[in-house]
Amino acid sequence: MTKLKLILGGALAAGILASAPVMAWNEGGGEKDEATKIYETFKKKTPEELAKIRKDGIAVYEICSACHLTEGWGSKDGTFPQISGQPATVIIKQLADIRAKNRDNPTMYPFALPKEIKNAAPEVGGGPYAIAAVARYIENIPMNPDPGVGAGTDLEHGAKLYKDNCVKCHGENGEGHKTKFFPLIQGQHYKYLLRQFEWIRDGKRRNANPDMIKQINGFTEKDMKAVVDYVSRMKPASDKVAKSKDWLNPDYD
Amino acid sequence: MHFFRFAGQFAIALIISILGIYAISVLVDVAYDPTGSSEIIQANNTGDKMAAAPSKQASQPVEVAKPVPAVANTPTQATTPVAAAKPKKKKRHPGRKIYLRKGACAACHGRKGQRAISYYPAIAGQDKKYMIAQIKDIMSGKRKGGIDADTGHHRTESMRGALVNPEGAFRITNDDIVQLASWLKDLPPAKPKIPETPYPAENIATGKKLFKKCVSCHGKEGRKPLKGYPFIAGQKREYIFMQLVDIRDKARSNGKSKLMLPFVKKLSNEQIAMIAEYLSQIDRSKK
Ligand code: HEC
Ligand code: HEC
Ligand code: HEC
Ligand code: HEC
Repeated sequence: MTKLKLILGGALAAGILASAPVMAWNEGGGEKDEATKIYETFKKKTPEELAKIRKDGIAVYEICSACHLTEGWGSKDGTFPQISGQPATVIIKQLADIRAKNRDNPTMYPFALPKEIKNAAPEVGGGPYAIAAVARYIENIPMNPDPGVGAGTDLEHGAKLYKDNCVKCHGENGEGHKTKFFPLIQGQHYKYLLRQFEWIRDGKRRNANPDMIKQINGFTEKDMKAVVDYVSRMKPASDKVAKSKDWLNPDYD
Repeated sequence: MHFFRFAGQFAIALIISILGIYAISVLVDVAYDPTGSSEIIQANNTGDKMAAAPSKQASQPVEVAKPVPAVANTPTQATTPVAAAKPKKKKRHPGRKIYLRKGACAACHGRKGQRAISYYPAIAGQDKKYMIAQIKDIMSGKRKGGIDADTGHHRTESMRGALVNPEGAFRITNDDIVQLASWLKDLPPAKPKIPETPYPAENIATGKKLFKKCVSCHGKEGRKPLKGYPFIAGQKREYIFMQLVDIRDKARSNGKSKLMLPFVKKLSNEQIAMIAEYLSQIDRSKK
């Protein structure tokens, strides 16, 4: 009897251990995979085709810009995140997560729906292509040179924490990892980072990566603020950032 | 020992897959929604904004290397002569800028307050005093409303999330609110939304009859409310329906809504639906 239980349990465990964490964090399938695939095909497009894709991205992004601003820079108070410069793959995944209610976001929820994306830009449609096109547009918008930062009183501690706990996923300089869906976090507004970090720690953000949750287990309030302050001050590569904090996106006026 | 741990994990995996299936079914629902109940926020005003695109190329980090041709040379562009005909900029109401940028209002209510998304209300041409009170009540949490089945939050939470920051501070000032309302009140009200299949004439007739009790406050056909009371003619059907249910069931109890309670207390959902159908088809732009 016990033997049977063990065998059964073992078989179950093997299957589940292999699949459960991946499934929960980055479930495959649906619109997300399709949009990601379409995005991959953009690499082989001609300049003329890319110009059309860019134009479609601009048309869809107009609705997003009402909150994230035409520059994609969000707000220092952390209400709206900066999304400019974020890898398209991450944007596509986050949109799918918001739509699937893995992120608790009543304000943005309708705008992640194909129906509203289609209404916003009927000529582009609301399917995976529209999502791929807007994601590509957003990742190429120059980033905010002047994001909100923390108190700046504990940066050495923050730097050490970052090195020991975050580099392997978010990269040396917070640049993230495109193909692994690890977000770019460099130069994000401090207050937004802090909120997301807390929500990930406390399980309020249901799409959080289980390995990250493990990694930050045991972080105190002080640790959290220090590392996030450090991250908000990380400078993206200079060709990713706008020349001036007064830059306005000329695609909209 | 181990077995129980495995069993626990199995249960978790099961729950996760059920949630996954649910999420997919929600997606499918949405993808095939045939009603298309919401309207357009003008994202396709390709006129002048596209013309500015070429100057952008230089500051686009990833795209500089590629010789992307000027976006302005597209067929859509050529067939929209609107841009050229525009007269020089007139002085704009300060409320407009707050509406478009700081307030993020356009995302949900449309660029001119007419074409709101989803079931969200049209607010162009609404009473100024009423709007000031409602915006404040929504921000402070006094006006909650029923639960949005999609997000699981009170229906006013979406707007609150945009206007109150995560630390609870208001993102627009009292002055901003006054400016917003004084700009919005003079905008032309939305045209009625015509349903794909017209509402049955008997419903409209019953709705009209039921509305007689409401005229003392909202005016004939809901077009001439008392000062500080809302215009309700030509508002979206879903929105009117939800508000009447909310006021009846006390999910909305802010401001002066209690005054209305005696008049809606005994209405059934069916009666409310007919009133909403009737009101939603009145064109406020016509006398
Ligand atoms: C009504 C306001 C609003 C609109 C419109 C809107 N968003 Fe958002 N968006 C938000 C808010 C608020 C958040 C932060 C949610 C949170 O705190 O979890 C967010 C988060 C995001 C994120 C996740 C960012 C991150 O790093 O975690 C992405 C990506 C995003 N939005 C993309 C878009 C796109 C693309 C559109 C247009 C199709 C759009 N948004 C339209 C309000 C909006
Ligand atoms: C095991 C890999 C891993 C480690 C280690 C890790 N993260 Fe993450 N982090 C992720 C992934 C994956 C996400 C995105 C989750 C999702 O898909 O929504 C994320 C999301 C975030 C976000 C939210 C970003 C956004 O735009 O919404 C912040 C902030 C963050 N991580 C900070 C950190 C910090 C600071 C550390 C170190 C203390 C850290 N992470 C360690 C994988 C990791
Ligand atoms: C994220 C979406 C969203 C944003 C942004 C938003 N609103 Fe709203 N607004 C709503 C929703 C939804 C309701 C209706 C809530 C309900 O169903 O009870 C509403 C209700 C209102 C009402 C009350 C209408 C009535 O007839 O009672 C006014 C006035 C209003 N909004 C004005 C504004 C202004 C001005 C702004 C910008 C400063 C704004 N809203 C930003 C979603 C939004
Ligand atoms: C005694 C005056 C009075 C009567 C009678 C009355 N109402 Fe109202 N109604 C109001 C007031 C005042 C409000 C705004 C409540 C507030 O301040 O929040 C309102 C709000 C509404 C709203 C919500 C408007 C919006 O934009 O959110 C609807 C719909 C409405 N009434 C319909 C009706 C109908 C239908 C009847 C008749 C069955 C009716 N009212 C009878 C005073 C009245």
